[in-house]
Amino acid sequence: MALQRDNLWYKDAVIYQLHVRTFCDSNADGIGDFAGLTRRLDYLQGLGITAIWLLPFYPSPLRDDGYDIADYTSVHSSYGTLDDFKIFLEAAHSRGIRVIIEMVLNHTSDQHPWFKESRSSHDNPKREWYVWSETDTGYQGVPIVFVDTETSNWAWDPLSKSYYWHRFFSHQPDLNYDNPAVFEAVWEVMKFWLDIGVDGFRLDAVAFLVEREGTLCENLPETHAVIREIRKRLDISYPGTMLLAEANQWPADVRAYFGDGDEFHAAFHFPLMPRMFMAVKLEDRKPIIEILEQTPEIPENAQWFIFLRNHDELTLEMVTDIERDYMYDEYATDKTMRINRGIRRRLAPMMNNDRRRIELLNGLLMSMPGTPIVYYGDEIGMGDNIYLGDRNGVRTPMQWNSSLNAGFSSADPERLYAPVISNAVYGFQAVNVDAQTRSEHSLLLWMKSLIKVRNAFRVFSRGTIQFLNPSNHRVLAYVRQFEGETVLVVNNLSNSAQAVELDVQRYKGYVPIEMFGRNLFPRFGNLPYLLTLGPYQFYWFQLRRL
Amino acid sequence: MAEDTFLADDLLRQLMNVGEVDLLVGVSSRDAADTIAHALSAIEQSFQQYFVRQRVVIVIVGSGDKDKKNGLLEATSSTPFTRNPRQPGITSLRTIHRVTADFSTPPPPGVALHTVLAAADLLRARACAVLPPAANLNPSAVASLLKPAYHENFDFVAPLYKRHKFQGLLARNLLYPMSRAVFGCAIRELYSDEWGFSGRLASLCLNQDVWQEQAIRARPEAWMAISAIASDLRCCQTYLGEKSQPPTVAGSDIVDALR
Repeated sequence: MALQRDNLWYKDAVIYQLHVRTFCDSNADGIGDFAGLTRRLDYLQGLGITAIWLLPFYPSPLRDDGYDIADYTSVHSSYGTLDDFKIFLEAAHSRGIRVIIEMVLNHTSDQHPWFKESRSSHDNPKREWYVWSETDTGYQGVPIVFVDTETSNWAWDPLSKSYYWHRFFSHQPDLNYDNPAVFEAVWEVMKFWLDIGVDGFRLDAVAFLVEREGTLCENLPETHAVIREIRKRLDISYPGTMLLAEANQWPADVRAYFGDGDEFHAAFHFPLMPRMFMAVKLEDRKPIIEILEQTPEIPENAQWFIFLRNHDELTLEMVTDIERDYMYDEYATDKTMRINRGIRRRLAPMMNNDRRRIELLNGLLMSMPGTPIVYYGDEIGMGDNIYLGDRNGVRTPMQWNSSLNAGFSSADPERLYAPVISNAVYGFQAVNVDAQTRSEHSLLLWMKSLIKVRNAFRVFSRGTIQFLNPSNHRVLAYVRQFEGETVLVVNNLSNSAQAVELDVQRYKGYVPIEMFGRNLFPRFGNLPYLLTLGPYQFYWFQLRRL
Repeated sequence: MAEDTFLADDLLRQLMNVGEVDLLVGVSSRDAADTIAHALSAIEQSFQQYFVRQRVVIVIVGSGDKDKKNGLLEATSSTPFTRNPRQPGITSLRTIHRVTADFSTPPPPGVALHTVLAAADLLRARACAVLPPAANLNPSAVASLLKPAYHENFDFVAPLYKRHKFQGLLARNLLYPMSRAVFGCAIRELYSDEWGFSGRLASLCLNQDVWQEQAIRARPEAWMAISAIASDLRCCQTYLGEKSQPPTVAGSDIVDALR
């Protein structure tokens, strides 16, 4: 199964996010690697995903889970070799699966040779590759991202006796994009991977590339100019590849990163994610509709990427203080679950392992406008370990079966990069791929069928959305439309059975066909369409004029 | 439980869409076309400011076409999304519901209260308040009436006002001493047009077979207060500040008469 030629493939994709380290260990060293990942590609193909987003796998001191890159053109020795990566890439492509890799443009590790040179002397040619200052008073008022660990965006370098700028950890100095040589060096890095065959980049922390005095040093016009230049070169030399923006901003601010279709191909919709969780807990559709109604239109060739959980904390940056307090009280009662401005938990534990709510949220994810991202392990309802520190609790080994180390590795358990989840509820003995493959009603098989339906209709990936706003606020109903396809989605956000009357006058005469069982429902007529839904139940109806 | 035929189908449909609530506020739109908008706004502000997490509903007892025309009383399950999330501020997390019980002619106060109590019972409201559609209604007063019932499990919350010495002479000099002597309960404002109560008291009153009595239909507020006191339910007073009087015709008010 070869890759289909379609430059807009990212709009129709279902993406699976994983870290090589966490997925499968082929050489019994306790750390996942590319050879192991390659072995598991059949599983991912069977799941129905069409793209993999890999977290950083570059050589790194791993003080920020690989986002502190020490060499942009190689593979961390724990994960294998560059050849292993190439084999993996080819194997993925042969299964029709594209690969998106991380590219951290904003900063490097302080162990990167560029920074080592830069700090070595004030006269070094690479001195201006980073943002240096004699004082720590510049760019006052710029927010600190990691408030739990950092007290300033400036760090003192005892070697060159000056301060360097860092928006993230102090061991991650920011590159200086006012220096054209930096841009060219970064482009060379991107070309390196594009020539190997990767299909796209997730550009980390793009809002912070350029600094200007008197601003928040975020979303500056100069940053957009950098992105536009990368996109221009990409379109000319590597058509069909894509750029995904990580900009944890309000949609109106992220909108600028699409430009006129000449910047990013895609960007995460960060504010939607916590509001999906909020809506289910509140049993009220208000948070979801509120944020989507304030989401601006994007260019035809652009796409939002949406997700429920990922490798980071469930970020609560894009919510009000009241909403953040509510989320903490409802989803992170134990303060250990909180980190920075977010919640470090996986989907299943946040839902108290309630299968109905897990399904509802995945149903929302797959039917909302945008490209869905499934975080590894969430398709089987993996648990987390909030006592591992930082965000490592949601980065534990993938649970393949009930054998040693959950089938992740044959190393001694003590040697694993992190302990497998082994508690009574989410432990690998109970929650694993093998067991769920054998169970007809498992979450895994349900996820497969969900993704299969999603992949069969382009309306989910490219269609417009129109909310129906029935009087019952516990029900979220919307119509997706694309070319000849029309789909009605009705979600009961509450813990109790609900009746709802839908105003479908516009679709009078259409016959709704339930998309999972392919059952016909009564034709839409003049009257409001009455539906009853069980707790957390949802329907996807294909509307056909028959 | 409400009588089978008491509530109109339209109101029942609205209540079905609202579902269970924590707080319910009843307000009558009778003769208040000029001030109802302010009152509703004050109630919603109170919800947004003091009860951001609670499930809330406003039950408007309307009185026919005149109310419909001004457009304010249309039932809605969705608050207009006017908030800009880029400017975080005080807001409600949930939908603030409005439901309207529409009568062809202005209903007597007892009928209006009966409707509010039935709604409170059906929606299993934990705390309720009945408020006048007054132009000077303020969000903190609404909260003051609801909080004792919601947070402290009081069943009846009477208002307490700072009054001019010639204001409320009847209440102060006759009704208060009399009710205190009879019931042993020091509630100063038994005859008020605003008060709070619990869902429990709402159910208790709703199930009394008194709603056809003329006296109850005309002035149900004191009856409800006395029902709470006589049933040994928990009663309290909440200070609402200065009691403002609606403008009156000169000479028709006892205060004016005594000046």
